[in-house]
Amino acid sequence: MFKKNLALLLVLVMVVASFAGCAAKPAEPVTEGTPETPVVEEPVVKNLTWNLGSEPLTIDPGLNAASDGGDMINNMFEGLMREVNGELQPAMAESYTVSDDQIVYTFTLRDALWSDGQPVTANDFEYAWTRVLDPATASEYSWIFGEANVDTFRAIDEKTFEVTLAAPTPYFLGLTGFYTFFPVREDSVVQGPDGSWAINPEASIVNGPFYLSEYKTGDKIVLAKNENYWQADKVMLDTIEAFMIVDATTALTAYETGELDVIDNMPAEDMPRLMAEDDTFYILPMDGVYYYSFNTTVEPLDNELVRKAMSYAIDRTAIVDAMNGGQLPAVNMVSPASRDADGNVFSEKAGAYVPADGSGVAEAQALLAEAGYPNGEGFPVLEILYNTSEGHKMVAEIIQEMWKTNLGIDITLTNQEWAVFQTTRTNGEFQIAREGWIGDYSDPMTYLGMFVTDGAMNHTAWSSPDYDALLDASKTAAPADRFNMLYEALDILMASNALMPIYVYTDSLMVANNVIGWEKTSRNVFWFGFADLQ
Amino acid sequence: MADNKISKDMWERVDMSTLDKEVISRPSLTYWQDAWRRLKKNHLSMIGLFFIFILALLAILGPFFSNFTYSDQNLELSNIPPTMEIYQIDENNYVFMNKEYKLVDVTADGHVNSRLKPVEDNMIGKYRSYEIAGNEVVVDYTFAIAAKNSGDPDAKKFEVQLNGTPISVYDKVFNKTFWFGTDGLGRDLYIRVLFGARISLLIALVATLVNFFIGVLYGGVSGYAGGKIDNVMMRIVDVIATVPLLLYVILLMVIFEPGLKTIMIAIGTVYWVSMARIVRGQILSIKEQEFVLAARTLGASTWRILVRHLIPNAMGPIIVSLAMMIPSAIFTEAFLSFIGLGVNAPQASWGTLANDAVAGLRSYPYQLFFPATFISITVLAFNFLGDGLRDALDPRLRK
Repeated sequence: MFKKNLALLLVLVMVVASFAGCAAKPAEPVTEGTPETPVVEEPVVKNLTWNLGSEPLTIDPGLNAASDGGDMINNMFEGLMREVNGELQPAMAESYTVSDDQIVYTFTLRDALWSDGQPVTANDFEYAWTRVLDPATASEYSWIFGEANVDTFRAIDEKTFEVTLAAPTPYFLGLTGFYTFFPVREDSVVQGPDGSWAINPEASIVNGPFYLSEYKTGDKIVLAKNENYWQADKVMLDTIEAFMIVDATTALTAYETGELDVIDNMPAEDMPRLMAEDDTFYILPMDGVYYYSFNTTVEPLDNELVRKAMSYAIDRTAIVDAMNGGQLPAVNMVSPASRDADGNVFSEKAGAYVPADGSGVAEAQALLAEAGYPNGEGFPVLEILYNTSEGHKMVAEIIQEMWKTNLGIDITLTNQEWAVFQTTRTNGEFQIAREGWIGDYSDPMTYLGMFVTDGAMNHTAWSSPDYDALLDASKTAAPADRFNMLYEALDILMASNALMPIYVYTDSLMVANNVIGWEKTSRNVFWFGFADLQ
Repeated sequence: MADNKISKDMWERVDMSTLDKEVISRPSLTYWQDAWRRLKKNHLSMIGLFFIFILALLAILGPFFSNFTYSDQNLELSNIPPTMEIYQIDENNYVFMNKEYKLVDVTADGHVNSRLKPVEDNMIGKYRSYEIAGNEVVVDYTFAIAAKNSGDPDAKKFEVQLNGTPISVYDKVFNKTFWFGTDGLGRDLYIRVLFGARISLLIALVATLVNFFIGVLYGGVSGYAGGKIDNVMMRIVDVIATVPLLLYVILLMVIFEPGLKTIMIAIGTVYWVSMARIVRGQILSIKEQEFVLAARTLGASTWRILVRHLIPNAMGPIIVSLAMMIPSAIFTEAFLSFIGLGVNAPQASWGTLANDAVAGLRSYPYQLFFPATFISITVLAFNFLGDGLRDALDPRLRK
């Protein structure tokens, strides 16, 4: 009986399921002799299509820590200052005053509106900054307030915002244009404090040139012009479609067929061709260094000689040649974007700590022999850990082969997905890990600050009290002394060879000829506020 | 009783030719001899078998006859295609221009020497000048942008000038140093494709062994035993079959290191499942037939009935599904490697080679062509062979 019922039930389920496929079609209206609709000339919608790459982890200004999210946020929100045409201009702040000791900044806000028509007040800034610093928010970038030496901040009244620094900080003003310092609206954030408010078009309230009109996970983000933006008259684009095409080849194809106006990742193999044949291909300098971390708690990487030998044994010029993107060999841990108090390029004056080409191989072999591993004999098999990507794989494969040929040591390669990789690296469960750092402001401190003892980005476990003391002292020192201390700190850092600088990033992108007025800031962030389509 | 005497005419000699009637004139063939004889008649299968044999031979011996190993890099000689258009500078000097508009020193018959260092590399003026044996050679690619914007694929993109006068292509030669060309790191593709063949054939071997020794026996036992044992065994199979292979591999990666070993374990744990089901179904239908009853009556053991009587009679479907499974195992490995879960660099399997090549497909299509061709032909060869084996091994088709 049970079996029979079961069979009946099954039949019933199948019959019902088969009907599920047949949805009732709406009866089509039968009209005879459709009346002629008058041709109305539709206003041309200026829509910029842009490939964002992978889906951003978040587009919440307070939580974001990645460049793709930064690109979105920069076009949706606005901080006290904004970099336009390479110059720092007052944005939400109409004007500001600085106390004589360079400690107290007082910003007077302009009469700007949020996208829902409410005024932007100093309280919005106070709320946003407090939120980032609240450990419960778990912002990955809250430490930047420490690096900016922000001591206290408060809203004096609706339109006045005061920031007190712990010490004069030349790069503080520039950082107010960085997304972590952007204002957010409390009534908007509470609708999804984990960052989900930012991707919900109904909850998201912005003060920048474009508001979020549509968010399709894994597909695209659509931004539309914010009529309440304080300089909305200068905003020419009606909409921006940011696609999430991960594959560089697909993105390039879409660009070449005209489906995308702006792309910023393309296959390394195609770069030489694009460089020669395409006048819409740009290579811009970028303030960032690509490097490897040695885990200094693992044998034999705890030996300074071994680390130095490994760092000397690679040919950085050959690597950048193979990369094809116009990158420069990195010979220390600071990119050439920062200058010292006398206007010298910091990294140039500091000089080369590791060979830029393959000239250090003989010395590297001698060092490895001195460390007790002549010709790599007895050297354990080490592992390079990198996050899954064609480019990282290529660099790792080149270095693997260089170490094998030049030092006789065997290396295995392991790749992990980005999210897993970050956790593994933070937990120090690696021997050699791929790293990259894009400077947050034009100062060597953005690099050197990472490697203090127990620094959030110091994965090497290397630590030096002298180094920590120098960086601490530099925060309150006069500019000239400050840079001398930073030079000295770089000496200590590079002498440890806990890090192996490889190359200085470049930013390659393609922008169709009909897009004008687009911009990349000195932080390599897109700014489409004043862009237009022809 | 007088007639008891046998008359002489009764002792007549029998004609010898009548004895021949009892002789088995056809040579007696064993089961496998007959299968082989019938397989030989199937030309496509023989082509497939021949290809697999040659491939196995190349995979094992090929690397010994090459000057390169699969990991040797020569960053200067990256992305050199298997056929090169060369230019003649003088009687002893020939150059090849790569897609990056850089010149490589080659010989007239196609041996690659080294990349030439330009005297001047002007990125803005879009030309490079070289000095080769006292001659000034200029590669001028100023037309490239206009050519691209014109949309005409045949538009002139560059000019190679020898001492000021444009020269044309001297000859199109095969690359004698790197038969299949080189990849983005200047590694020899030929040796890497052969190395990939080793991995693919190893996977094919593992898949076959696992299918045969686990799948066939498991299904056979389950089907022959029947009842509760059958029920329990098949539920286990159901559980294994419901978890997708990709998930297995990812989970295994957590325990073991990513690499070939993990893929083999994954294939080993999963691939016998559908085979077990097929064999069980066959056994269920055969075990009630008279010849099994006869064998049992004669006192054959369960094992003997299973191995000598039941499984050979189910061989047709087994071979068919095996034929489908080997290529799918090869393909699975290629796929897993393609999405980055496969062998570790610098090792190469066909999947990783194809994956590496996809990024540069527009500029260097040959890098995808070779691994893709080998994957296709190998999978096809196994399919042909399986097809032929099915016809040859089926005892019911025996003539």
